[in-house]
Formats: sequence, structure tokens, C-alpha cells
Amino acid sequence: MKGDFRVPFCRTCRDRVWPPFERCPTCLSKTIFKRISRMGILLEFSTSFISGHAQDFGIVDLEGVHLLGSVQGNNIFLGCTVVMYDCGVDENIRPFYKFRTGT
Amino acid sequence: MSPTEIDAVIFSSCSSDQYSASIIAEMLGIKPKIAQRIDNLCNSGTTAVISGYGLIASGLCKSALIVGAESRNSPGRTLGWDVTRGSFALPIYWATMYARNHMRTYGTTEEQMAMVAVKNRKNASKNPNALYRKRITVDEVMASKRITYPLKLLDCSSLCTGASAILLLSEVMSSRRVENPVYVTGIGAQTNSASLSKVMSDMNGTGTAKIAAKDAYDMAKKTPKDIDVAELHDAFSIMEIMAYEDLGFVDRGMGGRFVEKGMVATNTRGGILGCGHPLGATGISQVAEITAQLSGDAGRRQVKGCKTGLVHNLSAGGTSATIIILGVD
Repeated sequence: MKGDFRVPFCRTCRDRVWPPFERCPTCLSKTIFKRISRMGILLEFSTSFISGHAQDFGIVDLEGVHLLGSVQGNNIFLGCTVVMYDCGVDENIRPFYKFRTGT
Repeated sequence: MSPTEIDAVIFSSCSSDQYSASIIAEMLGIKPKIAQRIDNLCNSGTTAVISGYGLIASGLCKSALIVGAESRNSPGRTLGWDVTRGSFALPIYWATMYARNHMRTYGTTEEQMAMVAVKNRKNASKNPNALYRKRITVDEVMASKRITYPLKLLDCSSLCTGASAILLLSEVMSSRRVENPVYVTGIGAQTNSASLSKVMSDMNGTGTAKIAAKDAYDMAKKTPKDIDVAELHDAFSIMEIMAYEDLGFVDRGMGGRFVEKGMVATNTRGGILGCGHPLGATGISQVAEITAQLSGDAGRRQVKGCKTGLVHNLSAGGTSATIIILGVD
């Protein structure tokens, strides 16, 4: 299922809440989902062979939101700019995040 | 000791079975004051030991039976709640991130990681309860199936079905019944988060283990130099290298070279790499091994003259950690 990446923010103290939760862990106020930039920085990366073919993946920082996702591109390096071009929920009801290098 | 003398039964497991501590108590003919189950993923076992220690130290109980058991297909294999892992939910993905960071930052090599697996499998060959008793070589680790870069099949532990148990007694009770008692002298535990997102910002070591180790050393009035034997959470070979640093055996970044020198006897039972990883049972097996070593009951794998031992047990990429120090005096 194709997704729309949004992050909860506290309605009162406006803090970002990640991992997502309906209440702010600081003041327990309700949160509201907002879009953030889909452009991030690659903090670490490597290659998985579990699926039978090489798949690059890594840790991405999206304005302080850290998550693990797949990474595509010809020139992947530590600190490079990546863009989330797809996200959603797969057939196992796991979320997925897909990034590619570039802006 | 009669089952009627056991005051508490604590069951460590990530299973979803109901009322399991009470069921175990009934099946063993025990009517405990307190029966409870502990689930804290991979460090459930040592968390259960801490609970038993607390019950005895508070005076609520004089004895506690700590039992850990897990089946291979335990729901504890992954943490479904953690959406920050995306589709990379398996533990090998965070272990790979730690390994890549260590290689990049400190120059740790694949061969050094392989040496951890070789050492622990050699130790496991002397342990009749180990899952893998066949020795392996560095070449075999390096040639084993590549799962990620840089982790190969033999760098990884296996989930398995298994069980372990220990009996904790008060100091007064043990002095009457145990010939060579081993004491819990230091405990440290720390939980920083459940999600991996909080770990991802600093992959240089396991923050929870560093805090827990300091607390345990302080409580035991010991330093890393006092540790003669240690059980380390080697779910992946890189985790043992990082543990050397988090526990203060070596400076940050020197873990890879430490495995080549082997200055502290580590994972003498074979570790998780050699014994397998029945999640809720692992921490209790670690405590049982250090207890056996300190009481001189470790048989073919006995470390001579050891007086102080340490257990290092992690959960979910190091989001929580337990350190327990044991001693004979």
C-alpha cells in the first residue's frame, strides 16, 4: 500500500514525536501529523544479500527523524543527500521507506 | 533443597504463553509466594536475575528459581512495534550498521570479526550443552555465505529452542547449603529506548552498556582490570568486539585488536555464537556459566584461578543492556 510520509508533532509543545505516537512523551498532549522534508542525509549504509540480490540500505536522517530504508543510486557515500521517493506498507504489514541519491 | 523452600519462580521468555510462571511452579511442585514472567527481548534472562535479586535483597523472599525458555519461532525474533526499522526489521540489519561503522571509523577488519566466531566455536566444542560443537577456521568464516556486507553466516548466531535455570539464594541460606557460593556483587541496567531510531544517531558503541557497566563496577567496587572471565552478548561477532570497548577492557576502537590478544577469558561456554540464542534463556545461561567458572565447576573449559566474572546482555540493538558482576568474595 502506497504511503504518505508524515511525522507527528505535539499540538502543545510542538516537539517532533518519533517513533510516531498519538501523545507527546514530554507533555502528553495529543499530536498532529505533518509532512516534513523528504530530503535527508545518509548516516551509514551497507549492502544486503538476503533477498538473493544485492540491495543497498542505510540509516537516513530526515530533519532529525532517523530510519532504515533502501538506498538506490550510482554514487552512494557517507553523508550524501538522499530523497525518499516512496514509502508505504508491504504485504507483511511492515512499513517501507525507499531513498535514492540526489536532490 | 526441597521445592517447598522456593519462595519465588521467575520465568524469562518472549513467548506469548499465558500464566507461564505459575504453570512452571505447579509442574515442579512449588507453591511460591511470587510467580512472575519477564519479557525484555534478548536480555530477558538477566532482567529476570535482577528481579530475583531484588526480591531477595528486599527481604520478601529467601530464594528464587529463575527459569528461561524459548522456542526457535519465538515472537521475540523481531520487534514489530518499531516502525523506524522499516522493512529492515531483522537484527542483522542493525548489526551490519554497527559493523560498517566500526570498520570505517576504527579500521576493524572482517578477519578480526571472524576470529570472534572461531574463538567462541572453539570454546563451544568443550561444552556438551552447546548447539554448535564443531570448530571452525577463519577461512571457513570468511567463505561462509555472505548475508550482508560485512557479515557472513558464521558471524551470526542462530535462534534456537533452549532452556536454562539458576537458583538464587539469600546470603544466609547459601552459607548453610552451598559449599562454594558465588555472589552477585554488582548490577547495572539501562534502557534508553525501544526503537532503533534513538541508537542510530551514535553507532560508536552501545550507550546503554556503557552506563550499565559503570553502575555495576561501582556497586561491585571493581574495575575492568579485575574481570577474569566474561560472558558477552555475541549475537553477532561485531557485538563482542564492541563489548570489549563498552566494558572498558580496551579503549574505544581497539576491540578488533583485543580479540587477537585475548587478555580476558570471554564466552567460555561458546557464547551465543556457539550455544545458539534461545532469547529468554540466554542471559540465565550466561550467569550459569560465570557461576560455574567461579565455583570451579566448568570442567574442560575451566579458567584457572578466576575470582571475578561479568555478564553482558543486550536487547534490540543495544536499546537496553544489563551487566551483572559475580564474585567469590
